[in-house]
Amino acid sequence: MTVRLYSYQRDKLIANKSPYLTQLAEISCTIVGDFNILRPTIRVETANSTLNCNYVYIVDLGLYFFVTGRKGLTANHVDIELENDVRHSYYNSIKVSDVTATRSNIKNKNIPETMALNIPQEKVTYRKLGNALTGANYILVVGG
Amino acid sequence: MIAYNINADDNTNFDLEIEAPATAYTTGNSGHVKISFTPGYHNPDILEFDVTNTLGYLPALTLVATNTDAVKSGNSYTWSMTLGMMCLPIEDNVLLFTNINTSHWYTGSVNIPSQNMIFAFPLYGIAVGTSSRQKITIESDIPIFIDQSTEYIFSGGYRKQFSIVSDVDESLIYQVAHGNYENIDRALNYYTPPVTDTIPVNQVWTVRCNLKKNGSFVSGTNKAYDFRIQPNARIWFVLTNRINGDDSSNMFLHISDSPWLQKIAYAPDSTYVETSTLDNEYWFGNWQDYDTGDAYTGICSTNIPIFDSDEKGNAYGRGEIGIDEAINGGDTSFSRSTIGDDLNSSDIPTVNLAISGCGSYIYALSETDLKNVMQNYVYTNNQTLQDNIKDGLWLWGNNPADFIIDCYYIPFSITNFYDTITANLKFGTYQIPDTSFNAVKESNGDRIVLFNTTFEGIYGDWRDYTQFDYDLYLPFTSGFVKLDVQKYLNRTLRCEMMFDVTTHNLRYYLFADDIVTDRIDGSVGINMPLMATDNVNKAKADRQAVLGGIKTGINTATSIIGGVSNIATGSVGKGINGIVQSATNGVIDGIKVYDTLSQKPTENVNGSFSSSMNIYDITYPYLRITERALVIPDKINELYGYPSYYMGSASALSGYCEISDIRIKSFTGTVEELNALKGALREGVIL
Repeated sequence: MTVRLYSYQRDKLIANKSPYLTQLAEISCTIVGDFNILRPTIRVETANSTLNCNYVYIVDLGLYFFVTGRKGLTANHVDIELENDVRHSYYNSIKVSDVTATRSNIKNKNIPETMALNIPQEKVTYRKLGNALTGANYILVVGG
Repeated sequence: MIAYNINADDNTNFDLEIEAPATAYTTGNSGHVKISFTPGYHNPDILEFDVTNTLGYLPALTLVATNTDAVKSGNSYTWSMTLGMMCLPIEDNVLLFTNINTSHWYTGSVNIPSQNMIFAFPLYGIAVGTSSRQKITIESDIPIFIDQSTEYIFSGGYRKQFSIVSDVDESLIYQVAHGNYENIDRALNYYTPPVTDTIPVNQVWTVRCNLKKNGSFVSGTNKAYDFRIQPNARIWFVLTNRINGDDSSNMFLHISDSPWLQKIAYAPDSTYVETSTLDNEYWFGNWQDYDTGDAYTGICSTNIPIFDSDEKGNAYGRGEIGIDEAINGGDTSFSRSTIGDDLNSSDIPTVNLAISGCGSYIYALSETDLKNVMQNYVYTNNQTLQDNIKDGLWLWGNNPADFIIDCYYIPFSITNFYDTITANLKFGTYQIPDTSFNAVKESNGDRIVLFNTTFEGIYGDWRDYTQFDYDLYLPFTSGFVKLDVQKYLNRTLRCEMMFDVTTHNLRYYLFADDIVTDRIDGSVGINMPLMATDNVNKAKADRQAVLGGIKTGINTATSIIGGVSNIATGSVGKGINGIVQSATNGVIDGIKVYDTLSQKPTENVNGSFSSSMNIYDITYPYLRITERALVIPDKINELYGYPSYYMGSASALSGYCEISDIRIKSFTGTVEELNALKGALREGVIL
């Protein structure tokens, strides 16, 4: 299979990482062990690119992966452990789908900010609502 | 001859020309004035009169036209005009008033607009404050506008200093608003000023009293606008009433005054201008409903002594401890509530108890009145022995104090709640000849609007509901009333107050958008221990003894005079002198105790508390707002978005999102991948 090796330096949560990928190489690889679509391991030749990449696109699968580890390093090859970056791999699917977003750029001012922190302080102000009752009377009640 | 051409009211369709002799420049000179009208419009076509210049300025004349009748024809009204005049001096083309006591109110003919048009009809006049800072309150349940008509003062306003009356500071002449009819509709977007504001000196204001709420006119009695005029200031105002569709209501104008603001009667003799039966309140306007929508307004002034002359405190800033003296929408001048409901039993007949001849009578007395009654009528003092004996006969042995059922002091005027009438003060069969005492008319008592304000949050979001405690203080109640923010926030909060003169009990009703939501009870009044001395009973006994002594004298002496003489020299007479004197001193001393209560504290909350605070309490309502502090980092929304609960297409989202669920529409992966995707989106994604 063909893989493209990238250097990626932005936030893992970014869904569309394409603008921020720097390609290091495009090489062949083989799957090591039982294939797991979420966490596969590939074997590639030992080179600067394979040792320095942190993000991989497997062309034959059309999926993007984070590099999570390396093992079995020899002079000829190295095994790279991958994790499926589902946010990027299915970015287009996300964008066309309906979602329920508990936090987003669309503000609902009636929902409390759960990330706010209450602190043990109070501000007390007073606001006069009307004018003072004025005048005075002596009320005399007499029998007739 | 000098001629002036004046563009008079366009609606009345006449041109006005004033001719005045040049000698009118000189004080004391007289001149003849002729006013010519466009022929055919008015009768007579020429109005002539003499003018004496007492000011040293060239007098100018302005016609004051008052409408007496209106005849509707199609969509127009024709008014019969009665012409009067007001003499105004001119200096540098600026009109000034020659006599501040002169007022003229004007109504003009108008064309009735179509159903869909908003219609305005103006009135204007002058209010004069000569001593104390005054406050004028305008109430309306529709938008009103304060404008200056360009038709009346053709020069466009008055503002210059002019020493007409020596005790008036002319630098404090204020002017409110400007504009003309054509601006009315555009005024929908006028600046809405703070509810309470002081009119700047010599500045022109355009004030729109915007009572629209949520796109609709507010119903019910609502505060429109308060503005204040300084001591010795005069204010000119034009109040424009507006109508839209089927709106109908009244507009009120209250002018605080005690008693320096001169009460100015309105001149129009319009049948559509109603005058309230109350001395201190006039209907400002009265709507007449017509299919085409029109309105008639009147003008008023009032004489309600509500406001102290000095005003303390400044508007507070958030986070500060202080008193917000700026009454935001709450100043109602204690107008009696006009909102009808079952609380007012209008079917109870009004009876003048003071002359009905039976039952008990309730009097609202001043301290002076009470002393007068006690000292000069109940416990006679400084009289001759013969007078005391005569009193004994008059009372037939009764003591007038025995008829006293209750006597207490309340630290506010009862006339806010009850109508009174001047009448005799009766103690059973004993009637004090003085008729100047205020007797309380029988009624359930009126409610007064203690305040009426828009209860708005600080932030306009969830914090207003979760972070604040609102505690309402009402005079003469126990502690604070915790307001349920869910009931009142972003609604009109109104408090109406009732006082029961027989039980001394208070009751407050809290309204949220005209719905009664809470009721708070309180009590007020300091009982006067008038019957708590033995001297009273002793005085009664002495009177009875006097009566008995006289009877004895009649039976045993050769003449009544002789009997009286015997008594006068006997022990009984001495007893009268001694005991009555003691009784008088006892009661008067009791009253004097309460003299000290007249040292009413002028600052109740953030000032010093005097020993009399237990009686007076804090006499105005206020809100204690407690805000629990939060830390909300500035970057929180940039990094983590806003609380959202958005449902819809993800294409509308950007930046950081936490997606709790997704209804996928296009997905080629495995279920395992889909589950992984959902987990990742719940953890967070930046789109």
